Amino acid sequence: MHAHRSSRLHSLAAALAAALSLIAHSTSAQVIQIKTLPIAEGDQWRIFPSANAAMGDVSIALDDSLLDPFVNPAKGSRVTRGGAFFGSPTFYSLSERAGGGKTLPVGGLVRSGDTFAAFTLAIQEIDTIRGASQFFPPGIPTADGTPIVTTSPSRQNRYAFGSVGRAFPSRGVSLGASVLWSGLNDVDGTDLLYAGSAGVAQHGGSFDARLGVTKDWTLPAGRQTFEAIVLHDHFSMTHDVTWPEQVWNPNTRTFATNARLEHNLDRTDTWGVQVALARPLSDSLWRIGAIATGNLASHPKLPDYTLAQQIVVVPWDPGHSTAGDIGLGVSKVQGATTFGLDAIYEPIATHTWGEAQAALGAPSGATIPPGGMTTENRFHFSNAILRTGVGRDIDLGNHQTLRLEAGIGLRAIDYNLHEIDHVAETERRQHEQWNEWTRTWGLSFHFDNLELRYAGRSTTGTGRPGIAPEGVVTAPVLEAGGTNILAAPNGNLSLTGLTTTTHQFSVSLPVR
Amino acid sequence: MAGVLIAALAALAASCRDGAITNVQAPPSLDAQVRAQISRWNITPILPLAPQNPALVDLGRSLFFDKLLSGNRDVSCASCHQANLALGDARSLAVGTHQQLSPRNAPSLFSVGLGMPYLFWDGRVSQLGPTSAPILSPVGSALPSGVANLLAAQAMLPVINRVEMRGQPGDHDAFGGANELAPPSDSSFAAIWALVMHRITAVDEYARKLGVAYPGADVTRLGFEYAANAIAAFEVQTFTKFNSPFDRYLAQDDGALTAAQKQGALLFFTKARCVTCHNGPFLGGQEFASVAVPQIGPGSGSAAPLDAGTGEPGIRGPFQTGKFVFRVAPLRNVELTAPYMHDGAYPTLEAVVRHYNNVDSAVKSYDPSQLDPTLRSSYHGEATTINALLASLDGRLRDPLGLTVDEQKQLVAFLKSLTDPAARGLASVEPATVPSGLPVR
Repeated sequence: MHAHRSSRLHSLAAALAAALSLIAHSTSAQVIQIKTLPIAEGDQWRIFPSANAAMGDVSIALDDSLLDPFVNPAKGSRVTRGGAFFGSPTFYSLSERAGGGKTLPVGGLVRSGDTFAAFTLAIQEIDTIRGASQFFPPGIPTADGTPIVTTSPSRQNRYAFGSVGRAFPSRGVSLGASVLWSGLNDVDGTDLLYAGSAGVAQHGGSFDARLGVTKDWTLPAGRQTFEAIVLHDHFSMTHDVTWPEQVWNPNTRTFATNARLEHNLDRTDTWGVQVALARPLSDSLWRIGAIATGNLASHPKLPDYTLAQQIVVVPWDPGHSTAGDIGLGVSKVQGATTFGLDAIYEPIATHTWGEAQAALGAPSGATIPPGGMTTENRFHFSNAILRTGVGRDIDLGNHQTLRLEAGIGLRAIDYNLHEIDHVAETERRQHEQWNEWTRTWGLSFHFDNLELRYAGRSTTGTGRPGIAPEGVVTAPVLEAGGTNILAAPNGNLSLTGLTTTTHQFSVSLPVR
Repeated sequence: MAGVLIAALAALAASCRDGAITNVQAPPSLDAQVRAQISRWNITPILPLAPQNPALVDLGRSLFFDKLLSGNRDVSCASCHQANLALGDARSLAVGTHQQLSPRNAPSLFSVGLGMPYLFWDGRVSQLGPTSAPILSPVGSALPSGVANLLAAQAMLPVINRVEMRGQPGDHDAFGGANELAPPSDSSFAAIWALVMHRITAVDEYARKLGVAYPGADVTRLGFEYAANAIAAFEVQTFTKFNSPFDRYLAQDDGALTAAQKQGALLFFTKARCVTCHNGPFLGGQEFASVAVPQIGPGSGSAAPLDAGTGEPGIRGPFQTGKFVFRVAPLRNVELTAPYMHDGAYPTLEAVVRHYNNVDSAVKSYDPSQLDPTLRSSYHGEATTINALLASLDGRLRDPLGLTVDEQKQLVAFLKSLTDPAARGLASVEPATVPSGLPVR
């Protein structure tokens, strides 16, 4: 493997590499992200405010006063002084105008006695991707006289989050439950998964339900916290893909462009559990934390993506994945300076296969019965995540504080694939590895009755297909991000290396 | 500490280069390779045919099977295009009226409704372009303006051909009566068609069917082109079969072909070079080539006893080619249409593939025993003919293909994937009787 950057159009020689890119539809670490291609995902799912976003998203040994209640609903007990309302407009974009979006979440964290709750409502608008469907403008005539419909479908998504919990101070225990509903009309980048299509209309959503518990102990050096989360996540999208295809019309003796509508279902159910422990390290100012996460995901139906024009992927469903992670983190708050570091190892195993629709014969004479496996892919990942950040408070006087933050994160993805083609009776093995770097920065102002935050992040090491540098026309070639992607790149794969940049602003006002 | 950390982070951030991308290397799947070739060679899905006028189809069906259309009342269209023989006659060379031997194999009718630009082995009837494009045929401007389409134009021609259906001067029909279609000169196209139509309209049942098919028309004044249009409508409606496994594969069903068929398809598109001629939506039918098929039969035109194909002067107007050039056959349902080539020189697909695998060797070692015994003596295996055939051989076939025995089997497996199952069961199309009362068989 090697990287090259000529005109930022990266040509990836790729042939049938059964590749899985299971891109999480949540930023929470409890649903582990699986990727087999270096696809730029965008920051569509970043809908909650975060106090540590500008510090590389460190979280294991460092509390995130804004994000934690949305990750573990039991942590709503940490809300003090009656709670707060917040607004957290977020804007993200990919370079080369390869995608982007804006999200406006508003919400609140409230507490009354031992009972606490949180809510968030968010509206999101995904930008049109330059290059997607650009070759088939609306109204192109078709063989049967029906124009290919490439009208702009809704690109608006809606999110609603609610949680409720109760603290038991005498026992140091908090319990909470939360639900996150997403009504989705656009998962960013999905258009590009269907190379050569005239348009993709998406509809569906997800539902994430969680139960959380925290247990605090007061140690001489500080607080020790154990927490656990159990979650179920259901993701369901339908992609109505309009394919323009050249056909012969025997009635007119002419070639014509025909619109072929294809329905693709994308379904994944995930059960997850995470336990975490954070405590002071001796009597120093350091804290240390550890997490362990387990996910069981089933993929009853996955889209039949087209990785290059005229090339349709063998259906890769059903399938299932077993994913886990173990992580260690340290943090230190010394005076006005805060430091955090997380290191996580992610072993993941995924098994997907295609099922024969009818009996198929193999070269050896064996017969694959209907429902039998045609091709199966076994992925084994050994991913690593390293992130670190630092923050510095500057006293501005009059109870006003300016905080500067910076961080960096590395996601190193490494997997081995064993693909067995039962139809051709062949097998092959493949090893892939790449790194995704994220830089973060931010500042915040803390006033008596107001907190203003800005966090920026920039991720590189990924790309999207079908995106040419400005002024250059290229045919859409290969697939890209989205959710629950099982894909087998065929033929030449071209990705344009991109930078994903996100700007998140947060305003937080106390309830009182 | 903070300053050091921030400096370190800044250094790390600066080291991150934009757009580092991972290469993914793996062999392309068989499907990916086949589909790439399909796209490259413009082999597209075919839209459904528009339904034909049922009254026209009904009339056409009767006419197709009625020997009334032949001068000697002994052959019909179905004599060479038999419904129970996959629209052929299982003969190398077709047999016309009064058992006259035709110089060529009866071509398949399975693809004629698909809108091919050329019909007949020498492409003498053609329409290059959409339905509004002019139809070119040997009768030139004598072709009536009411001819609906290229296939109807084709149906106008066998009745004026003395070997196929019209008969020779002095012939008597199967019942001892005079053949009134034979006397007009060969260029009196309108007169011959008028005589054929007179026969048709004289049959009450045909007059009724014509009235239904052409409501409001004076049946006695209808030209033969109206009968030809009905025959064409019947052929399009009934014989055009393109729901083969390969067609389903074109419709994105990867499971429609077996592994062997896909391997054969890949050979078809690559090593075997078949696709260089058999391309486009019909897998052929759009161009001409000399493939040095052994010469058999009485021959045709000025080259007789050989058959020069489109090399015959005037056969395709100004488009004369070299000798021994024939239309590239469309391949849908080819499994069913043996024997193969313009003169039926090969009885099996395996033999055809062997021919293409090494044309030089195949022509020089051609074994006429694979022919019907009555034709073996008409094989032209003399050295001068063989040398002339090989001299005319298309450049794409001059070098042996080098296909192994297994590869040849895979290629045949692919050719069999072009068969629409519905093309196997056409015997029921044949009516028990026809309006003239003449025997159908």
